[in-house]
Amino acid sequence: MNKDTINKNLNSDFLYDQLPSGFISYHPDGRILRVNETFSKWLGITIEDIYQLNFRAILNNGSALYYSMVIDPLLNLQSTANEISLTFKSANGEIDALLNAVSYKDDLGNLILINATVQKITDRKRYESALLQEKRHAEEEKRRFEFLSNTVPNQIWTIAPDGTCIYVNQKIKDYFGEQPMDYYTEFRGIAAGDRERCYKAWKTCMATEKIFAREIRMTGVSKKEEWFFVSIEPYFNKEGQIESWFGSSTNIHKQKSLQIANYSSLKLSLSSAQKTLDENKQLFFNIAMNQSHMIRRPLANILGLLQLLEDEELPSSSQNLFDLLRTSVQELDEMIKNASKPSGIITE
Amino acid sequence: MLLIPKNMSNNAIVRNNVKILGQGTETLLFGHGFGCDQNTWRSILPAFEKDYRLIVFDYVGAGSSDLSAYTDERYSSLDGYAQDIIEICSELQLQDITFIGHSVSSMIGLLAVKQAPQFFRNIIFIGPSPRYLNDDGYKGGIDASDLNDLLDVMDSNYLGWSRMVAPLIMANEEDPQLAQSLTASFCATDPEIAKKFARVTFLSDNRKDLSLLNIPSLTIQCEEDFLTSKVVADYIQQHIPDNRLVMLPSKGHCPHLSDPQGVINAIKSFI
Repeated sequence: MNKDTINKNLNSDFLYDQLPSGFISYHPDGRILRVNETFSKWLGITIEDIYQLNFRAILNNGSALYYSMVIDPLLNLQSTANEISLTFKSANGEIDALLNAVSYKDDLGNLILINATVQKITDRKRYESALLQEKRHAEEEKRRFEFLSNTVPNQIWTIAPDGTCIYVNQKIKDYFGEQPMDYYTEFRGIAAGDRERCYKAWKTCMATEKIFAREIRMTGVSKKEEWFFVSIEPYFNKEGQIESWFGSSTNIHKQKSLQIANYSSLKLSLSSAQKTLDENKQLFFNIAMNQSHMIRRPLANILGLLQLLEDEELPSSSQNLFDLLRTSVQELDEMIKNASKPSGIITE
Repeated sequence: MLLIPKNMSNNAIVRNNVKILGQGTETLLFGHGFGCDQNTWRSILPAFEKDYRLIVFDYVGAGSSDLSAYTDERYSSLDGYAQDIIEICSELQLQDITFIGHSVSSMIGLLAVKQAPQFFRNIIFIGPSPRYLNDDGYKGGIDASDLNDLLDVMDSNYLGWSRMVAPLIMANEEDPQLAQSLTASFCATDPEIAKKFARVTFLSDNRKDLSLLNIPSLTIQCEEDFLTSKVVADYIQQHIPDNRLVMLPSKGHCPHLSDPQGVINAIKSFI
């Protein structure tokens, strides 16, 4: 590239008209005062024809509304407005662009001129539109979740990993009031007797990423204490990190009350059975004591007689019979002793 | 200067970021339109400061209002926004006020007068429209498809919103106190709420409410306004008893910004 060509390409008029950016100057009422060739080419309208148009007239209707309601007052109040996403009408369709504008005022503070650059972002806009679609889809999913969570009979809520409450369904608002908590330690819906124990358990679950599942007494706007089964499970994202905790609670007051009533009844029955058992044990002990005494008296006599016989000189043929008799008597004595000490009761 | 009476309920005052200025006894209450906040009034407030008590506020979702106060249930129609105005009037114990509403605030003000007429003496509409969408025999100027396009543009500008409305120090050499008393960020509106507000605004239809207005009213309209038109201004005149119309030669939807003197003159000649 020779020097003349370089100088030509650095000429300010050339730069203004040929740089790959649109330039437009307009009066605050929208009259277009100057545009460059690049912008004219993008619009597919000659520069002379553009001068016959109002700035709002080259925007599509949505952008013109937005410009009139938001950007126009903004440029009156401050001197710049940056990266405004607008859509221009062109002879071949529409052009998505970012507008950076600077406004100028006269000595009396009246707005007199707006200079703006226009950067074409059609491809980027397509990607942005796809992102927006995704965002809307996510918002729709959120609405769907909230709708579903309001139709089920359970109380449903979500909590951020730091313990901040993100969402509560209508059932919770109905039961505990409009804004029951922002953070778990602020929640006063748990009955005082269970509160500290629950906070401690929940804190442990958050630290260990374990499921929280407990039966808890809670008190709502009715001030009535009721039993709930509360379960809070961590939701892990694809990276394996907890994104949020999903909580649900079910009113189990009727079942729990019944269970408590049945337990009390069972305890009473068991106490009664234990008492009967103890009485029977005592009776058996008394019988055993009496029977033992009655049987052991003749046995004691036999044992005494055996001792006397031991001192006699018995014929050798009788000595074997004597030994057999003594062993049997001793076994009988042992058996009676065992029978008279049931359940580890020592009778001696 | 904030002149909120002591020992009174101030839910709406805090929620709607209410500011009170001026030294007069007669009250002018200003309601901003869609897309901006109370800062939109900065060019015309100094002209009324000496003689009037001026009250500006942000609708819930706009400016420095309490965003947490927004509920779909309340703000799913313009009546919810009208309720904001009524609650401000009630908490400040206002009487005989002139309400000045820009754009959609015109009809919000109309609904407030309809629901609680005891607070109002006059009402001024700037660029009003009782219905933006075209209908059989009625030319509101906007088609239903335009609303979808607008919501698409708002979505596209979602990420750039905060950068676009980056806080700046507002220069007002004539009255630095006024500058300080207003917030330093312009037209900051929560994008999600703004989209819902846009939908509520453009789907509203208050044509039947026009004839119920029974206090003097003034319509200030630009010759060329993308969002409304002379036809709409005429429709309002035909249906509101005792409505005056001032057509300004300026163009655009925000004459209080583009032609503040024209708006000031029109308001002063009316009140």
